[in-house]
Amino acid sequence: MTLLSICIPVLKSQPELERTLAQMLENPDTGFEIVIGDFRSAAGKAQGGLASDIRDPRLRLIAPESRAANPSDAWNLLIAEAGGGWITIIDAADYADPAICEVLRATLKRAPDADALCWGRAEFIPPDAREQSEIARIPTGSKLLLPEQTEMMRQLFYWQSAGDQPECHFSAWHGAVRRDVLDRIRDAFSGVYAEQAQPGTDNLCKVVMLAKRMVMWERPLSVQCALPAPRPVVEIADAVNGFPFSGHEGSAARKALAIETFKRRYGIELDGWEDGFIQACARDCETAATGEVFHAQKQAYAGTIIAWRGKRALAAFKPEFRRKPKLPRFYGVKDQVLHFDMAMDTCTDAAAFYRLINAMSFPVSLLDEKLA
Amino acid sequence: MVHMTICLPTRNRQAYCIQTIAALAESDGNDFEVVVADNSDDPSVLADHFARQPKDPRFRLIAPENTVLPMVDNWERAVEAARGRWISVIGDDDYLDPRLTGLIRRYEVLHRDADAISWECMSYQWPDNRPVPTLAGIPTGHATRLLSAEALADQLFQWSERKRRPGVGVGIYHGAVKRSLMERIKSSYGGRYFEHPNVDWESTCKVVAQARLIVHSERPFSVLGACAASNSAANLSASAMASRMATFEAETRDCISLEQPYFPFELKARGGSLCLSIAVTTAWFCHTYGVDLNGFGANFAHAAMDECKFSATEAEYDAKVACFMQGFALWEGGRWAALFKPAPFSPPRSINRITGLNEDRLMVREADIGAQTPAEFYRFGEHAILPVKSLVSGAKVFAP
Repeated sequence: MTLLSICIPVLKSQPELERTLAQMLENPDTGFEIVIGDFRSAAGKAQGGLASDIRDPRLRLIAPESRAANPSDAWNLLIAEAGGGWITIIDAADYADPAICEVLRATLKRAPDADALCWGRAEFIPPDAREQSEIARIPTGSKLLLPEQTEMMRQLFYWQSAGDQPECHFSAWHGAVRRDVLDRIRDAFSGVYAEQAQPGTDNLCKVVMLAKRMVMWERPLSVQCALPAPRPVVEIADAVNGFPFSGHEGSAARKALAIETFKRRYGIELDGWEDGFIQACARDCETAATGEVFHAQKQAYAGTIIAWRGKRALAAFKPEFRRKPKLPRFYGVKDQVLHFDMAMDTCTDAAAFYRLINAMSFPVSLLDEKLA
Repeated sequence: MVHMTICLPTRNRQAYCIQTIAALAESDGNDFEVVVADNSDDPSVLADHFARQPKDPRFRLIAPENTVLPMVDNWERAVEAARGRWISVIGDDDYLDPRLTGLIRRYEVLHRDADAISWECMSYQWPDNRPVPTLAGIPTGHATRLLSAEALADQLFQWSERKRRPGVGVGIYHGAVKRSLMERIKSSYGGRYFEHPNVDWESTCKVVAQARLIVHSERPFSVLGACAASNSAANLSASAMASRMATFEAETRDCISLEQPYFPFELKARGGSLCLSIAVTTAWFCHTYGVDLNGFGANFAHAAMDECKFSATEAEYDAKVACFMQGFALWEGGRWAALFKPAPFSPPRSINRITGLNEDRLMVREADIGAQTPAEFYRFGEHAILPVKSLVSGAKVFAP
């Protein structure tokens, strides 16, 4: 049986996808499949097939006639089609290592009830999207951690220990979730696997609620292709009454909107999370590369925070612009995280970047031995 | 004034040497010079290369003599020719960042007595030297430490760490030594800069014994390259090691012998190791110049046991054990023989597979990166270490 389905919804033509798939299929493991959903417009499809030159039974292409109305539609279709016991979903510009299979096998030997796996984050900004040097931050640890569900709920819903985002990543989006959990999510919530404009966060909330045993491996197993701030505005369909954030303020606001939508829809009322979120808003501003972006973002957040909680709420909102041009950037290892220039080894896409970080991270093939 | 001379002694590895020269020439600094001491059988290759290149006053070639020189003599004439205030020696398949002069200047201001500077080295196997999967290393630290001469002497002469190699990375080889210290060494030890065939470790001994202040940078400034023709490459093959040893012996015939009655270990035996080679050198230095060896016997027995642990095969283990046993039986009437009790052979769980961060050193699988030379690897590695500019300016606060 297929252990893992790596699902890739393709919403627009992605020239590097063929190279990405070829790199994934270099892995001889037969325990995985790649399911590509071609959700491009008719014009996009007319540009050519996706990976049409690759002949490998582990690669499947789904080409629905109509475009996905929103990302959740794409998720619903792909998850329904996926044959794997575990599901991972990434974007067409991202990369996921099929060696996740090996990690799953090693994990299941020690934690047979594991039903959600996540790993260290790795983000990559393509060279033509960089206006200046960008620092990659890659965790260097290789411990397998078994966090408690209550801890993950605190980190997600209360924004405890959050950076500009909650420190909780148990979802099928750049994680792996047992199909059984996804089916239970479908049955327990809305009859579909994903229902929000941000299916990744929607899935995160539901997995944290329903998973029985979450496992985290500190080492990255995938790369998310990101864009530097200011990022393109994503239309957030789900406005939330009494929560005046639109998502245009930044990524923390977008995340919060999806979490609030989930909470409201399913009657989850929590108190005491607001300060944690406001502090994350401040840290979101601090990711700005320029003073101009920082001040614009700070103003946008401050205005919305006042409209939401009044001026007193600004006590928790104290962003500082730290990326002053005169200050040098840090390269090296700090707090078990390797900081390096993304220009290292002249990687041009997420697949090449993964090859690089794979060459300098703890080997997946030794995880089982390490845990023995 | 020339602030630093990089000496590049070379013999019959012209292709690597030319690439190293080209990499150094890319530097836009003008406060360093490179002295290439050619000891090759064919003098024309490097001579032609120098003739073809546009004149660069930073580079000088010393042509081979009529007969092949022992390595120690080639190093000697390279350093004799150096004009720099500071001198460093690297191999012809290595790389050293000429911007080291900026760090030296900073240390000269901060530590006026400093006369020896060391740093962590990156390590890299050339593509032609990868018969098995190989890992390159990038030290990721950037702190500066003042090294205690007493502690270094304990580690080097007494082998107080009881490890297979003393953790003493100072000396002129992949280090920088002030000219005044080199002159003091020359006047203190036989009227030469270098005497022993194992030149790099000999330099370490003399620098540790004579330096006023040794400053160490955790930030790497050079790459220890290993090409297929290098001595370190011979570690991967017993026959290659035997062949290199034979060549080495032939070319050092008139030098100080590697076999001395006061330390009767047989380095050229099949089980000869880098551990033994270093010990031969430190024992020679201590014996010749009256350095206290108290503690060396017991400590070296443990270091030898540690060396045996690092055996890829049972045959290699057996050879090392036999070599050490024979030496310990003869040394000082077998006084330390009972202490040499190596653990039984245990096959290594993995060889060159553990990539990732290991004690501040980033281990990288070489087959998966683009670097083709030590200089390219240095530039690769620089993406993940503190920039020279930040180090030299003493930056302590960084933007996120």
